[in-house]
Amino acid sequence: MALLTIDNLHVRFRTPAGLLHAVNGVNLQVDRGEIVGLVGESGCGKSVTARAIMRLLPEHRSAQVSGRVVWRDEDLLAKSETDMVRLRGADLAMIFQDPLSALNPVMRIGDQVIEGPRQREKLSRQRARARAIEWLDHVGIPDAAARVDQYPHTFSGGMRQRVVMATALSGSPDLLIADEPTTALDVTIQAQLLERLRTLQAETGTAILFITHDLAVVAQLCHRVAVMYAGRIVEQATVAELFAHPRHPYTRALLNSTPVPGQRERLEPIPGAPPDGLHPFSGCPFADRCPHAIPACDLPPPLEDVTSTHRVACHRHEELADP
Amino acid sequence: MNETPLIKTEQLLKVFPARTGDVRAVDHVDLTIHKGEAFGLAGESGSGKSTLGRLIMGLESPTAGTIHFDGMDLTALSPAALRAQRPRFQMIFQDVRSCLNPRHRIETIVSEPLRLAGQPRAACRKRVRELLDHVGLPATVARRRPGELSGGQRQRVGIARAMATEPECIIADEPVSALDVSVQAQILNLLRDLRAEHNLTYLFISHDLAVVEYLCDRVGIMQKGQLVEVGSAADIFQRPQHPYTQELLASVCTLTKPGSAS
Repeated sequence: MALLTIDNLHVRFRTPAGLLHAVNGVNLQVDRGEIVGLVGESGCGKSVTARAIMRLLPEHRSAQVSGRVVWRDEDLLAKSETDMVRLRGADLAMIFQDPLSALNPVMRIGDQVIEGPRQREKLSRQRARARAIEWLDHVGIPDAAARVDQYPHTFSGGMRQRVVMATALSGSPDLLIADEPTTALDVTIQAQLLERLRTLQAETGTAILFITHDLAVVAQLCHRVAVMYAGRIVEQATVAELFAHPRHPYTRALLNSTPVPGQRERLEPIPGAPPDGLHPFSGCPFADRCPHAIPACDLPPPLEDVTSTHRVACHRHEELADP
Repeated sequence: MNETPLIKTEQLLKVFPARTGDVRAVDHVDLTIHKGEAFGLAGESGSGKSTLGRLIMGLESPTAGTIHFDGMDLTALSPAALRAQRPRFQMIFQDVRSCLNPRHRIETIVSEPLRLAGQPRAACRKRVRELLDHVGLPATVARRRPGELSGGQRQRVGIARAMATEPECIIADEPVSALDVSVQAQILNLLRDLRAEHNLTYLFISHDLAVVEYLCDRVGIMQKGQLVEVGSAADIFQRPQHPYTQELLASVCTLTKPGSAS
């Protein structure tokens, strides 16, 4: 059952250089209890999509947002800021790459972890503190009872990200949007954090929209994955399908340019650079870098079903399918 | 192997004083890199791999220990004698935005090592064109400034500058970490090609084990300032001995590509 349905989302920014087309018609669904990876290179619009869902874009200044973001039969894009404040934290939560800037440096971490539920549920000081300790323990902070009264600067990067995770999950949201939460961390810490996130997800059933540039992380964590390029979703599938039978030339090229353990044979980089968003295109955004481009690629490719769980936006996906 | 190693450090120590006690960023490291070898130095942030690279490059002075370059003790050389050796080893950095002067044109940046070596202007200009072509940049880039280039192009400029003096050795500190994978692959292939064409020796510093495995013949793993394991790339990645190396490898998220054996 769809928890969140993004329907033809467009985001444009007014910039001194002109109108920047950041998100160009994204359609995506997140079901209850699933982990969906949103993957793409920098500038492809994945973070802007996430911020549009949370209504964190500067809509009164430079951002123009259109389309629909349906959450429980209601369009989030039509909600007032007051309504959004109520929804954020309780229904939808978000965590970011840099945990230090997400935490208040002069507030004890226990108070930050439980700030949301404490206000909503009018918890007593003792109850709130106990709940905070519980959550810090859940996310794997050792000696949570002693650390609950400490300040963020006394925590390492990995531990801070755990605190942020506790803060986001303590409100028992139905959807957690995680924007590159492990990118700044060392691999050993990243592995621990992903493991913890997976366990918590299984226990709480919170759906996760996991944004990353790292295909390997997607392969390890997610159930489904959507690949973004130039503000569009070019392919989406279950993780098993996408990595075994990638259909879109961009997805394939991305895989071919990623070194994997044991790789000695030459990588095949993608020639050229992604479009800058300042020059809107009518056809397939990948056509000018694509080895398989044909004149038909001047027309926009629709997102077509390959299987019931695999969709791809490429005119030639059938011919290019592996035998 | 009785050939003189290109780089050899012995009991190299670098201590940074700190309020909370001294930090041994590089803790008695013995490292040998042979001519023509691509040596990968891997480890997590704070393990001392960048400091080790900067010590070899002469950007930091060691607290104790020696660094030999082609048999010469760099730590004992006079500043003038060290400068004479400089063209032989060059460095490229992760953050090309901060290592290229934003006010200078690319030709000024790339030719700087040549001008320092006293080459005439006309020769510099010709060489810059060759170098840009060599790293896959159009000649028109020469008149641009760093801010007008993409991240991948800027890293190519950094590589062109490092190649200007025809060095024997390049120390590369996380040169692809800030780049997207498609661009990262372009730069990795460029580094591979340059090595084959010029018989370069690399000290390649990276936290990304897949990248190290792709580019390097031998690998050293650093942890808390110490070199805990050194071996051929095959040995390190397939038969890691040290518990820390094993932990590091187990933590890497792996990706299987379609059509691969596994």
